[in-house]
Amino acid sequence: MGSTITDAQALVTALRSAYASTPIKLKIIDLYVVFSLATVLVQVIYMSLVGSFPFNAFLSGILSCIGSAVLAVCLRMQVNKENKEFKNLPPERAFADFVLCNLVLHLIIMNFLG
Amino acid sequence: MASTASGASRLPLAWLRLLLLGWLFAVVSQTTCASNGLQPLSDADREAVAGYFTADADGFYGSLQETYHALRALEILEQSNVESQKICDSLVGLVQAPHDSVEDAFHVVRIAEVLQCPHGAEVAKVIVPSLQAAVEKAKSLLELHYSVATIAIIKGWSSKSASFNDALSGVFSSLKELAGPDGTWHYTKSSSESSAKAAGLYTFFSFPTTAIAYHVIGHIKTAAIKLFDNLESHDQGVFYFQESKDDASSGGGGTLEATWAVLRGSAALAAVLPAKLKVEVEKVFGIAKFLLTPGLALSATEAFYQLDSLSVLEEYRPAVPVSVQTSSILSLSSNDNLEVAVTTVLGKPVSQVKVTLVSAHCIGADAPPVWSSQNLNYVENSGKYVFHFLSATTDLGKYKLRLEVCSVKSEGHSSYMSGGPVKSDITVISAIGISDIQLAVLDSSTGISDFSAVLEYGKDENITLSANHLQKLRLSLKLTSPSGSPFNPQQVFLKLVHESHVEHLYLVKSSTKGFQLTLDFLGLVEKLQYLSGTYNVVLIVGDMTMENSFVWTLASLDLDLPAAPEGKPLPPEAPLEITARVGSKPEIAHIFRQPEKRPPTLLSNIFLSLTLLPLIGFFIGLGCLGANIKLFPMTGLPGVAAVGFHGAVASILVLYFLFWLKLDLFTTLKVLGFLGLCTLPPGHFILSYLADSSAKQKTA
Repeated sequence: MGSTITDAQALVTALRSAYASTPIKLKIIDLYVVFSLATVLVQVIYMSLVGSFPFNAFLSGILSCIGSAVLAVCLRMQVNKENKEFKNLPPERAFADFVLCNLVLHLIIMNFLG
Repeated sequence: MASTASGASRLPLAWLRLLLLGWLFAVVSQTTCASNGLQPLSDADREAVAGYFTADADGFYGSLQETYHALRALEILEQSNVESQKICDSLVGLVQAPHDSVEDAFHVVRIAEVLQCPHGAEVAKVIVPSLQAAVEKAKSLLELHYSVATIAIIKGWSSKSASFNDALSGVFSSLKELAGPDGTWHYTKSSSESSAKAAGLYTFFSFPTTAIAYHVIGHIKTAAIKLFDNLESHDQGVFYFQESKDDASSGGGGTLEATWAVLRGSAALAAVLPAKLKVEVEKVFGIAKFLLTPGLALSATEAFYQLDSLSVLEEYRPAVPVSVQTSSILSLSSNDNLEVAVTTVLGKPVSQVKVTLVSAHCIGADAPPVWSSQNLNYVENSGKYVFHFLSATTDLGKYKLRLEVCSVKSEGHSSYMSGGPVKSDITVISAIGISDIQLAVLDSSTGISDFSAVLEYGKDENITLSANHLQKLRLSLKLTSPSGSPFNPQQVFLKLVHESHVEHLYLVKSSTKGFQLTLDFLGLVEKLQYLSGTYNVVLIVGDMTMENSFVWTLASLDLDLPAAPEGKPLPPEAPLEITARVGSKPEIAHIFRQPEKRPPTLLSNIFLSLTLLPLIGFFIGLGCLGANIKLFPMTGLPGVAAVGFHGAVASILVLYFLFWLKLDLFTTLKVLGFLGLCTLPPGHFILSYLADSSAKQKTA
């Protein structure tokens, strides 16, 4: 029992120190993802309290946040210099894709919102 | 106006009297029908019309024009309760009072003429000076009409009439300018609408005969003939003169006034023509039909126009139109005679004609005519022409009659016309004999009668029968027409009426031995819906030619039927109340979908603010991380491009917000396309600029 706790503590500390070395840009994107997911959480709690009556509104809210989070993760993958896959992709191009996809996502979300 | 208001209050009484008279007439004597389409003024109509005119305290009936209308109408209706002395005395005073228009003089003079006032010379003396001026001053047709008509009436009263001739000849030359191209007439030179009424007023000018040359009369005659030639029929052969838009300048009036104007003018014209004015017979009768339309006159003025026009028709030469009416029902039992009433349009009986019954055919049979070429005799007392139509061998039914009315030439009397042969339908009816009425209850299997009764028509015997479902009810009777042959009426029914008002109707069939019906209760148990109890047995016999059609309760029947089988409760078909069938149905209460339960507003607002918390957390986190916008280009083209790019993206987000609020997808897409195009250049520029600068940094 005690060892697992110390193991977990050691794991968290190791993660933290590893994380500290990531570039700021990536940290910003991570923060954005956390922000989106927190918003999803708030919405789910609200729905569990009052029921899902305008279901389309609930879905569009949820999907807007999750969609933004997913696009942000894609952007992070493309911008990350350590990622061999996207070596040749300029980060500005990835950002432009991110902006475009977000705009399309939000158009659909607004339509579905009603 | 006082006269019309009190006239209107008298009207319901007059109509009530009319209804009562009509009912009495129908009940007591035979009904008559108009056979040549003209329904002349009846006594009740005359009374109703006379009710329009009520005199004031000073004997007048309202304004001068209304007084003239009333006096002339009452003269035609032959009612003499007018205060002529009072009116005549006040006329001189009226004329002496100063007045601008010649219209008042015109009305005064007309009243004096109708009442035959003895003050004619005095009135003429006063009017003559102003008349001359009026004739020269007159510009429009109406003013000329008033002045010339006044002259025509007073020329007999005054010795100065010769001095008018010069003035009048000038009048007629200016009148010619009012003529239209195809015989139509206008009120003034400048108006473009032709008017029948104007033409009528024009023909009035034939009044002063000695004052005008014959070629002018010829002119007027041509105008009148053209008017009548152009007259077209409106529905069902009714002719009238239509009003024109310009008639408002002469006081409006509508079709009745226009027709009156033309008729009066034509009468004046015909009076001066040696050969009279000939109009087609069809048109004369068409105009008469229009004038005798029921309910035509709704006011005192309209009543005057109607009556005056009818009096013109009464004096129509060469022949006065008459209305021919025959009786429509003849009863064999009371041995009625065929009566034909020939009257003028105002309802006066005519005795100087010869009425011939050309032929009388029985409708439906191809037999030769019952009568042909018979003369009818005039009976002084009733004013009708009578013929003994019925004989012992006359069949019951409908007959088609053809009559001819010819005028008898005699000195001092005018001739009459009926507008062609007169067709009419009559029905010969009679009381039918009913005999050998037998009601019996028979045993179904053996046929032996358990009960039988012989009934006599006209006697009310309260017979009670009883029967059960194993028996039959038999009715037999004989119907004979007055000639002795068996009679087959249109309706012979037997009705069984239960005490709960459920009715059943059965047809009684005829055979060589008379009428017979047998009701087998065994087979009828279900149809009678297993209802036992007391039934009234009712016999219904009726026909168009039967005088004594009846509904007769023969007997009361106690019917014993087996009980209804289990499981099939047939509700008896009680006859529904009329209101249940046609009244309003019960109101339908619509149940609408309940709206969904929504959370309380406070809770929603709390969570709205909670949703914004992560956003705030994001910005705080950004601050902690040390994110900055140092690389944001501030100067030069990159700056502009950067600002433009961010601005365009922001505007797209605003568009989305508006889309959520109120726009529709199509508008949004259009604007989005435009904004997207706006975003592309700056975005591309700034991003490629940033890419280049970071590539430079790497290499550097």
